Amino acid sequence: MIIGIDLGTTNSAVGVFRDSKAELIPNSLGHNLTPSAVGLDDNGDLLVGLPARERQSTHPKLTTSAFKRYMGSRRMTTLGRREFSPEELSALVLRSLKADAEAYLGEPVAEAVITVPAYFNDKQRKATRRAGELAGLKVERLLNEPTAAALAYGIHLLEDESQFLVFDLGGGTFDVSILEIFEGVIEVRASTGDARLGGEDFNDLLIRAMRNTFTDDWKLKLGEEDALHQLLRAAAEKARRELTSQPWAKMEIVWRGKAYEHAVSADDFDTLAAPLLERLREPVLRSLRDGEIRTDALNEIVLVGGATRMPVVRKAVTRMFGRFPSQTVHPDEAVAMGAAVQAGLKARDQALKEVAVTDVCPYSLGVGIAEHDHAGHLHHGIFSPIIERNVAVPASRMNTYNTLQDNQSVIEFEIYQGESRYVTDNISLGKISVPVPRRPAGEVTADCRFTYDINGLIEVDVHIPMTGEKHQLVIVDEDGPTGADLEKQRKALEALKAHPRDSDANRAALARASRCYENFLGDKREHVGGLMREFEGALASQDNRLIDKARGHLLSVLDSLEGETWL
Amino acid sequence: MAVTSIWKTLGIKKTSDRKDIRRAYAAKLKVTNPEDDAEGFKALREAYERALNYAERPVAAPALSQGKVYIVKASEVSAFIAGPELAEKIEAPAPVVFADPHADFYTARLRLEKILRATSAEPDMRIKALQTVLDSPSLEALDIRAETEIWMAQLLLKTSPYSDPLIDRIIKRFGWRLQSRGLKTAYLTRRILTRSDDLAYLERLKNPTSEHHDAYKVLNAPPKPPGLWRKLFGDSAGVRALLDHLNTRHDGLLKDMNADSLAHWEAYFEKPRLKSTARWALMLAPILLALEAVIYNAGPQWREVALLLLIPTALTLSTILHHFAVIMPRHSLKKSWRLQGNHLLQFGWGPAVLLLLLLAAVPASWPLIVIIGILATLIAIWVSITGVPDQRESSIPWQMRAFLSEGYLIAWWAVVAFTMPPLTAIQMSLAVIAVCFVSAFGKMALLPLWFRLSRAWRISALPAIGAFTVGAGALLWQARDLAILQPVAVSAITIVTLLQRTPALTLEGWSFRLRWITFMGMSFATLHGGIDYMFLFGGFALLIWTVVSLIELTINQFRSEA
Repeated sequence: MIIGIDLGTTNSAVGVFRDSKAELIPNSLGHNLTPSAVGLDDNGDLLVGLPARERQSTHPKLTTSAFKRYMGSRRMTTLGRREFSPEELSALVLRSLKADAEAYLGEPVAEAVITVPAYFNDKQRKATRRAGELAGLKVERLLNEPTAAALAYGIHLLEDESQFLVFDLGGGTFDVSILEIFEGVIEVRASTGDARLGGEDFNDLLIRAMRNTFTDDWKLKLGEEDALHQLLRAAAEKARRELTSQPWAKMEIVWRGKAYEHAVSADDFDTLAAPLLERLREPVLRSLRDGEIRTDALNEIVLVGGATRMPVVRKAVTRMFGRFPSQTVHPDEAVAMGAAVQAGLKARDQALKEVAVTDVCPYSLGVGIAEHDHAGHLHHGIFSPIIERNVAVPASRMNTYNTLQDNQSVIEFEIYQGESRYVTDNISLGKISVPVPRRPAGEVTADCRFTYDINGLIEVDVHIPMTGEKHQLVIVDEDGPTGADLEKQRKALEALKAHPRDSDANRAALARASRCYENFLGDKREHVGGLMREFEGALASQDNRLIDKARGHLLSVLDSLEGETWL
Repeated sequence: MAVTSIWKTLGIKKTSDRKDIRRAYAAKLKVTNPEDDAEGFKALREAYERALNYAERPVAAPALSQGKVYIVKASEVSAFIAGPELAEKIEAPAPVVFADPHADFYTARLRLEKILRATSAEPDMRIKALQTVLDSPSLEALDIRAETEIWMAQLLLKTSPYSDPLIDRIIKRFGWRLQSRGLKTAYLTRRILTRSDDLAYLERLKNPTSEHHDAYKVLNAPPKPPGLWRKLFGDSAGVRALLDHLNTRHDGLLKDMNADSLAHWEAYFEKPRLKSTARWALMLAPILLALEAVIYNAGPQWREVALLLLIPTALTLSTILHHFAVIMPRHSLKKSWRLQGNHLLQFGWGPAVLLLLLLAAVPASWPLIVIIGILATLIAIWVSITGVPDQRESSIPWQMRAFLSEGYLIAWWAVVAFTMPPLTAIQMSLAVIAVCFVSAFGKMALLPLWFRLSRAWRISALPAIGAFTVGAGALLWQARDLAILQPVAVSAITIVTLLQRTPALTLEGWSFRLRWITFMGMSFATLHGGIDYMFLFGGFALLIWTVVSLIELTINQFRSEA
């Protein structure tokens, strides 16, 4: 059985295609969404999901989240005594999702479709695939998130001809795709985005606003930064969610035993968010231009991603397109549903026989060259695209280059991704040096072929016709482990002890209670403290009925004190 | 892919009906899935795209509707913003009707266009009118914004220079960047951005402290006939540099300059002219030569002063030589004679120089000096026309480069010449100067030949040159005492230097450093031991350097083969 996984910045979800339809798999707490948070408890045992997220503000040194933003980088996160790379942290989340799926399906799961933001580059995609392997999953396919959302949306509309736009603003990434459905084909026409723009940036606005108010009170000592930031982040996230349904919200935190309060109105938030909204506009404009489509030719605007719940974003979208976007898909679950559909396609499910999906490469790929201008001056660092953006994938394209200097002995192809004319503004993906026979300038030519596969991974072949030599570069991550190293790393991760699944609910409740205990003062704190003692007593009794009752009581009191838990 | 196979791949007859093409593609796609058959999909996709290209382009999109009426129920608004659950709690009032929400925006646009086209409008008014357009909320609608960007870019291009002060605001508002490659509007925005860049450069030129300010003033004013001083010593290099810069980087600014002045200067630079440095050198040369002759003949005690004076004299003469033997012939001949490319032709001086050096070692006589002189001149002219100057350090002026790469040979030679009888000295100097010349302007031509040699040849050539070098060293040792051997030693060392030059060019960095060490050593040797020591030190330093380069080369050669 292949499962479909949405590995998100804030939340992740897993789905499966069976009985001719896609369905989501609930986790051990019965939720469809699992927070992408990883932590260690006080014994050094592993926590993933809600229990970890609840401990984020109380145990900032032992908990981490939003690590997807660092996928493909070397940034290490220290939890307790061990260092984790972003892909290891993602692997832990994937492992927990895998366990949920196995428990739900009652059979072992070894293959998965994992979604990535369309605008993820080669490095980030490879890191995601490695994360899957670290979790013991064979990654059958990396699927672009907006394409997944479009699958979830379009699978019921195959009979029609329609064009629609997917506006996917997640926790950390922003993607826009324009799609067309015809004759059972779901075709991505254009895709673009911003790999560093998402709900977290909106949180940062609120955090900065509150910090500016209390700069004098919060003279930070070394090492306190992270703790304060996590407290503020939790408060900002809560306030941002409240602003979805009410005109104002309060950010409340307890810092060094003192309560601080900062009120934000929806209007304030609109003003703060204006620069981010401008950043949302540009990719949309570009995708419309690339797709050669006008907004009135779009049948539907599909909003995906938790951050699109924000009224500021919805209002901005409405103004951009002059109409209201569709509400037919669930913004948090559509991507996982689409991943499940893709898993079904991959498994050749009979129900999906008449469906075909094509995707595009969202960015241009090419090499750096030097060229002479009309006056004979030499300009270095010019980007020469080989695969232009929005080409249907898999694709391969070839360009021919020649030597620039007499007796040049080597042609160096540096591979870049991006849209700028100058390579310095683009992202370097790797380098291939090809020896060539020494001849006068321009006599030696080299054919450079780029192959972009369906998973978005790149292969470069260089062929020198003069010598018949062929060179190949599969862009490998220099920092990423391979083969035996990867296996070793997987074993090391496996050795991390995780708690039995059925205890997750208790841990989550306890973590939430202790967060509330620290965030409240006075009577409320006393109240929570009492309840916690009661619950711990129930836990000690090992009587399941008693535990369930105490937990239910604890959670309902916490709900009434701080509002329901969000995912 | 042949045209016929497009239709075969799609499985239909040739058609220009997009619908048929799409249907055929969709049907094939379900069999040739991109998941399982990447190559098949690539072929299918190519056929599909080419078929669509063949079919008619779709009818142009409908014109922008400017008078649309939007009717939206308030309950829908709140339902949408607050989510369905909350919407029920909000009371639904009567429907709100806004008629053409963008009417104001289009009025503002028309006003801006009118003001920009009116040449007499105040700059403030233009900016105000622009700001009304840029601040309009209508720009948030993507269709309107996309269309306005194109409209704005075209308007700017049409109304330049009146609209110049507005450019930067507009670029900032729309976030135009040079990087935005591949957009349909990129060609328009690129022109605007170039204009903005040009204007920024113009501002810099107007600043009196800027490098090209004087040249800018000349180009911006009507041309006036040059006075006597300017005719003799006036430096047009600044104007030339600015013109070059404008032509290559900011050709849009040419129309902002004085047209008569531009035409005047372009005609002026058409003809080859002596640079002001050459004019100065021409005037100085007779004075320096006369002084040199007077001091040299004043008696043996003045010889050292004459030696010092030799340096400026040599520099002045080389400047003149460079202009008359290199720049002028190149300029007038190279336009039509495309002699580059044929390496054998470029290398034509090689045997001639070897012959020249052998002749120079023959006991001196006046007829021989004349022959050598003619040969040296011919070689110099040949090299200056066909030669490939070494461009690797092209940021350094050529005088400096020549001094760094060939100066040590001339310096060493100058010292040696003083120890020889006058006639021999003249004869040798002609040959050595020709070698320096060849070295400076022709050495790159040797490289292709070197690389055409097979590996075995290259490896055996290196020890051969090495053996020749050692022989030259032995000769030099003997020549210290035997004056008659001195010309032969000089010839041998010069030949060695020339021979190892080409392989040494493949070494980067090393050579410059070694040359400096040689030169410094020669200076110290003169200070502490007199001219004889310098003769020895210079010669041996050259030889040692040659041997070191050869060893390193041999190692490199073997390593690269391994």
